[in-house]
Amino acid sequence: MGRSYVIGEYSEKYLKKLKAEERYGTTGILLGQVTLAKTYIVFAARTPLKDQAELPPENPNEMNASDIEWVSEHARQVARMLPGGILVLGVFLIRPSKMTKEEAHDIFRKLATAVEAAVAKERLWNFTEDETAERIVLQVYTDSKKMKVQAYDLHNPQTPIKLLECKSSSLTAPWQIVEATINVDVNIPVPVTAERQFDKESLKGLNNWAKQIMQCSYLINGQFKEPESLLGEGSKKKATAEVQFLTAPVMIIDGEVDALIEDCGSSVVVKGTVRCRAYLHGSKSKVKDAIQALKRDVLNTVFIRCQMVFEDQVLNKNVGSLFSRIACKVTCVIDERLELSQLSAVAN
Amino acid sequence: MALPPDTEYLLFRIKGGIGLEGFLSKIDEASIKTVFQEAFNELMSKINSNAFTLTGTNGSFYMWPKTHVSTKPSELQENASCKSILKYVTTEVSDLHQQDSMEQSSKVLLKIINLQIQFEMTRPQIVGRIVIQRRNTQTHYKLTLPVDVLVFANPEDPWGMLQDHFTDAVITQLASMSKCIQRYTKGKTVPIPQAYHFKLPNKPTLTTVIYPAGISDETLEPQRKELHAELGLTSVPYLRRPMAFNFPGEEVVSDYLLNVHEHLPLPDPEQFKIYLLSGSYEFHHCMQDNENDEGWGALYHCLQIIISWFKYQGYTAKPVPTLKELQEMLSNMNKDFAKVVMAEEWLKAEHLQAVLRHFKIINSLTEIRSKAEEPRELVPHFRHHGTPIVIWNKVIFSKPKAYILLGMAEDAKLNTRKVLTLSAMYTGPDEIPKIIEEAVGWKGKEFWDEMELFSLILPQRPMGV
Repeated sequence: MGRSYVIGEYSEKYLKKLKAEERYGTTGILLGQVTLAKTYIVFAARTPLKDQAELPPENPNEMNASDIEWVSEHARQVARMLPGGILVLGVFLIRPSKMTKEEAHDIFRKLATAVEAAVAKERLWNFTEDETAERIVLQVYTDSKKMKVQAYDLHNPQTPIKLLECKSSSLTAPWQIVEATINVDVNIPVPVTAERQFDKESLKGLNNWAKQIMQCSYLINGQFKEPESLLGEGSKKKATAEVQFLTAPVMIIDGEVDALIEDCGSSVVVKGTVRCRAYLHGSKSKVKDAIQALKRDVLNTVFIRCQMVFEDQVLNKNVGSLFSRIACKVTCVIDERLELSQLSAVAN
Repeated sequence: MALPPDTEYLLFRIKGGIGLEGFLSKIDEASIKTVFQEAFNELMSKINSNAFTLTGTNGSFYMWPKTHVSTKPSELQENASCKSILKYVTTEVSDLHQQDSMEQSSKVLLKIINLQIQFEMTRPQIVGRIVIQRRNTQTHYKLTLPVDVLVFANPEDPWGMLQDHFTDAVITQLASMSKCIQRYTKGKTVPIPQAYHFKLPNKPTLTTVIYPAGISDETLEPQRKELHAELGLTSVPYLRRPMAFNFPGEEVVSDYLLNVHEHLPLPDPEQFKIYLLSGSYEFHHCMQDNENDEGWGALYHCLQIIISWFKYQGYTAKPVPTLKELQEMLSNMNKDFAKVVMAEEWLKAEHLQAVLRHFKIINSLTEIRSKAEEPRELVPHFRHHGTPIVIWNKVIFSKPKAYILLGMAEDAKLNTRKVLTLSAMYTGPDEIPKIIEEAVGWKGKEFWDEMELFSLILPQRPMGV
């Protein structure tokens, strides 16, 4: 459908380096931004090796379910650190020379789907209908300089896989930034019956809050701006735009007569202030896209913190102690969001 | 603030649903009341801070009453007259009829500016890490307060001062809502406080009263008595909920036309003193709703009109009965009534009074047998009770007739009187022009001559406020 993929200098260098080190079979994740027409790949990071420090299987066909899960979990942990506007786009692979085209299509699709599913668990929001569901597997060929992108439409598994060229670009032009300081004050009643499934049921209360955030009104730099107008319009400097959010009015239900007073097993109160931020590529972003990216960052920030508190309490059945080590590492940096400037600084 | 007549005033209507939510550890009545009091105190401080925002209904104008900041700072400065805001908001128009002690009517035109309450969630001064707390065995409470505050302003008032009025007015209403909850909470039931605005005779602006939802007007009589004493009102009802002022777009919806007499011009107020019924009624008449009752149904419709008046004033919660329902009601009362109903005969006084008794409407019956003379009790009736009157004639040689009387006009100098009549015998369509032509009108002496020998039923307004 005409979506083009652009890979940034940093990521290209990184991947070429891996290829030069002959790390065939290495997989990792790709991060970047999806806009209406293009997808920008900003960062690539290889998945750390499992405990035994084995080299990854040379033939990706030999990847089994636990390998796929490993990559997905890596993606999930990284997704937690991302600022607004940046997503996990998919997976990359350093192809061994022996691999044929037809092989591993299955594995690739499974990888892309598994990664997206893992990352989606961290979200309180859903993509809208007009946002693409394409995720990619980027292949680095040993015998050519080209990098090919295989794009999978995750909503329609039947659509044919597209094999696209990946254009390179330096991607060093400054990005537009929107920021806000959000006061959070959410009361979540936890029903008595839900004591067992702690995290799923308790965090449902955040869904109402999430809906309110997505519907609230906004002001940019103290002024109202139409959603379709350009973010950069009217401002001379490319400074960070400060956003204010105002709660949407609460619906008064006709016929409601008394206050609701109900028993609950326990309650969770989330209170505090967070600083949120979103990045937008180029200078032509629309106000509505900026606001959407920033609102999603608000939801991510709060949701992820809550989840991490609960993860402490729930036994992690799937991957045992190893991941809790990795999780701990991530927890330490959770309050410092990954700065895009850090990414582009590395690129330069 | 006295409003000179025929002036235009600004009325700011500040509305919004504010959620109160939290947890209780004990659920006895006293603990519930304490928790709600604390919640209200917290909310009132929030209003008195820069979290409190107002926005125009078209969504592009925002203001912070506490800090006097807005999205149009250069145009709306402290000393600008508040009418400058009209450029940035949409307005509706309404009017308030004024009746001063001389019973002169005058109108005050209102430009209504609707403002929405919103809260800002992005205040940088409040800094703190996210704290996630988990507490055990609790009760969760949630309530949406339907805030509805009125602030009247002269268009020349300074904008800076007006913003402070907004904050004060909202805090005052929240304090009243809190009092309402403290007064009417019983056990675990916490009623939602609701705002009603009333037009009172001795005040130029509207008065707002907070009543608890779900509690009947009867039960609220003690509160109304207190308010009457506070506001210096006589013991005629003014503050019953159905009597609240209707803003544009909030008019009462009914399948029947209401208050059709209001489309008639009044007799010259310079010449006549006018006494009209108070409140609202529905116009019921013959051949409505596909009923084929021309010639015999008029008195049934008079009953419907009376009952509708009591319904609109909140004295009865029962719906206005249809013609068939009235017939059934009478048939079920006794066999003789049933015969009258079956024969589609013109009703008599006993039938009318039986139905009114069923609806607990006390009334007095006057049967005048002597030669037609204008009854003297009409003017005092309209002044004291303000209810519509049924009048029908004794059928001897002439056709039966039935009317509803809605008011009197007296010219003391010339000693002439007019009566406002509404014909329940009207068989035309429910269209105002036709109705004005044929069904409703001010009539003089000719009406009494026409009626010859007649009877009257005067419904009494229940005692108390």
